[in-house]
Amino acid sequence: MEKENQIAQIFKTLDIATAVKLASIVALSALFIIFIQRVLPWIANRLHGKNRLLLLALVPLIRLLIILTTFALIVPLLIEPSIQNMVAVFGTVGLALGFALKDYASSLIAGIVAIGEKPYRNGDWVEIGGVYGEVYHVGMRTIKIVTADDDKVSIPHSCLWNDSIINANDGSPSLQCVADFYLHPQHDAKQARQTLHDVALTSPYLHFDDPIAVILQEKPWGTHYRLRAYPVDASQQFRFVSDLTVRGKAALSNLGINFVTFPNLDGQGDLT
Amino acid sequence: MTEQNSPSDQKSGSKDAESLWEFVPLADYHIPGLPARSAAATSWTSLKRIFRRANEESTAAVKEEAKLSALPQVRLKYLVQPPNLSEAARALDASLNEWMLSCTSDCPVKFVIGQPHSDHAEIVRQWGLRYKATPITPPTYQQIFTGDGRWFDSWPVSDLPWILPNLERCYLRHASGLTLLRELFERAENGRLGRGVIGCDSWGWAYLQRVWPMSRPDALTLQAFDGQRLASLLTHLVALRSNKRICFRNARTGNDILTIPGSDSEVPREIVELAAHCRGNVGIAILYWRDRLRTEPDTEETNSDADKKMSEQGETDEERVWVSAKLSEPVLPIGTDEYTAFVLHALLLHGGMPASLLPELLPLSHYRCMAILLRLRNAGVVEWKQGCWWVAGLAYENVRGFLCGHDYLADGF
Repeated sequence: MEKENQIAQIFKTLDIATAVKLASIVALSALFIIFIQRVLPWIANRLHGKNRLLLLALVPLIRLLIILTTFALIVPLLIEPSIQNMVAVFGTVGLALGFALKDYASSLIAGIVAIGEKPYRNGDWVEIGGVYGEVYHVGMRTIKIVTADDDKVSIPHSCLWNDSIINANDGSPSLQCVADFYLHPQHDAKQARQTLHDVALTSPYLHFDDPIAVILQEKPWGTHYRLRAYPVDASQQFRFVSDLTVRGKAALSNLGINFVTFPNLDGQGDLT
Repeated sequence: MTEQNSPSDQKSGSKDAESLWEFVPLADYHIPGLPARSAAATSWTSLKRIFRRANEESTAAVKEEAKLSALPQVRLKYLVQPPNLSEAARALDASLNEWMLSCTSDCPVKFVIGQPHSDHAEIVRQWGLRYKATPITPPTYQQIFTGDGRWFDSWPVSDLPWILPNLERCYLRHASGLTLLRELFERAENGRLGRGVIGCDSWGWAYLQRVWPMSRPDALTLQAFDGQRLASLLTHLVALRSNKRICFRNARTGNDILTIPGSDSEVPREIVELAAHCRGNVGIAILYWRDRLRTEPDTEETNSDADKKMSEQGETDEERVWVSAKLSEPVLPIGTDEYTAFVLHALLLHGGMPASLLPELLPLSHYRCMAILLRLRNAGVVEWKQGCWWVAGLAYENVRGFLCGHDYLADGF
């Protein structure tokens, strides 16, 4: 009987006026979140480069602020706002979540951490657990990625705790692309390097403010060239690499340079 | 008959006009600014443009101006004559005079950089005529692709200077299209080609700075035409009839913009805005000015009528010309994608080019290139003349803004 009284003291009596107020706050918050999640990406997709990425990255942050504000408005309507009551309620809720919905809660918390640490943001190109694609939605529990093959993949935020996250552009529009060329060892490397540099310099996709680099490494089966450059926009990366490859092969062929067709050491050659 | 200014007027006018043209080092180019109110209005227009569909903007017209009609060519011919580029050549000569007189071979080559539609090549040619300089024809596209060194045989063996007015025509943005240009830079900078002046389009120059990184703070360019200069130039471009004042009036507000002959008063806001919108590019500013001139329908003349009218004198004291308040620029079509951006960028980097070359430089088929070009032509964004495709003058500012907004390499102006 005493326990029941104690619980009754924690929670306020829910009259109709309070219920309407609660429902209004929740409904308005939900509407505002939906509005932000639709309008900001719509505007962002009409912009370009840094402005686009900045606006996209604001979506989860604003949503979190809305949720926290809603929470702060709702809690005093439901319980008597004393420290004792807060500790009792949140302790009980935390215990329940910890046991019953451990993974879900872990993802929610990781989602909040992700907003602060920014290992990925909307518009970033990331690789998580072998999946590579562009982040197009950072939700409360998961992030959604669209791959180059247009597959949409949902990954829980809890991947933050254990998996490594490779972010190719980290909030910036610049993203390095690499085109590989495997050449027969008998050739003029200086000429080949200059030619590949010019191939990048003349690509219509090239972003000029970032450097071009040609790295070569001698292998048992030939010479491995890596042409590194940045496209104007991160979304052009696959087309950019294709363009570098097509024009690089044509330019090297014009120089009479042969390509390696297969590692000739019984599969022992390392192509990487 | 229409009459030019009297000889004495012409002489003093020519002197004034000459002082309008000034060549300065690239770093000294000052882009004309806007008054704060106009700057805010421009920013608001740019913001609206992000969210507006292209065809909405192009159909929006000022109601009052809809009643006005474009001027016939014959009147335009008298109201906006082509600028006299020999005056610009004289200004270039004044800037190059010291270099021409010096005997040192530290700087055998001078570069003159011009923005699109600013006729830099013609100015360099006219300068060359003053010194009987040998004009060098750009190499053929075949020579560029093969890096044919025989092109250098066209340089003079004498001590006479030479001019290469179109450097942007001496390379192609292709892995095989840079060899000849690098060879040219090496020979020219070493003084092996003698003394010469090279003209180059500003977009080509921006690209070539990446191909052959060189610091050329002495490269010259035509100083920007701010409101003051532009108002003076537009005044000089009018061929006056002796007894008639010409009044250019804002079609929306009815305010006078220019009155010729008139007193040197404050530069009208419309001209300041035009200069700022064109970023000081005089060629583009003149194109806009011509495009904005209007007449009332009842005074519209056929060519023969106008000629007849021009020949009669003393009928009226003032000739009124309306100036549209709206800049009717071609807008990029809806759904302008990266391939369209590639085509426009290629045209600017090479100072115009034939359609047959585009597939060599871009990852696009001939038919795709043609489809894009024809679509852009229908929108008024590009035009075909002298065997090449060019970005149209009235569309240049929009195209430049689009390419800059998408992070493509742009000129330094």
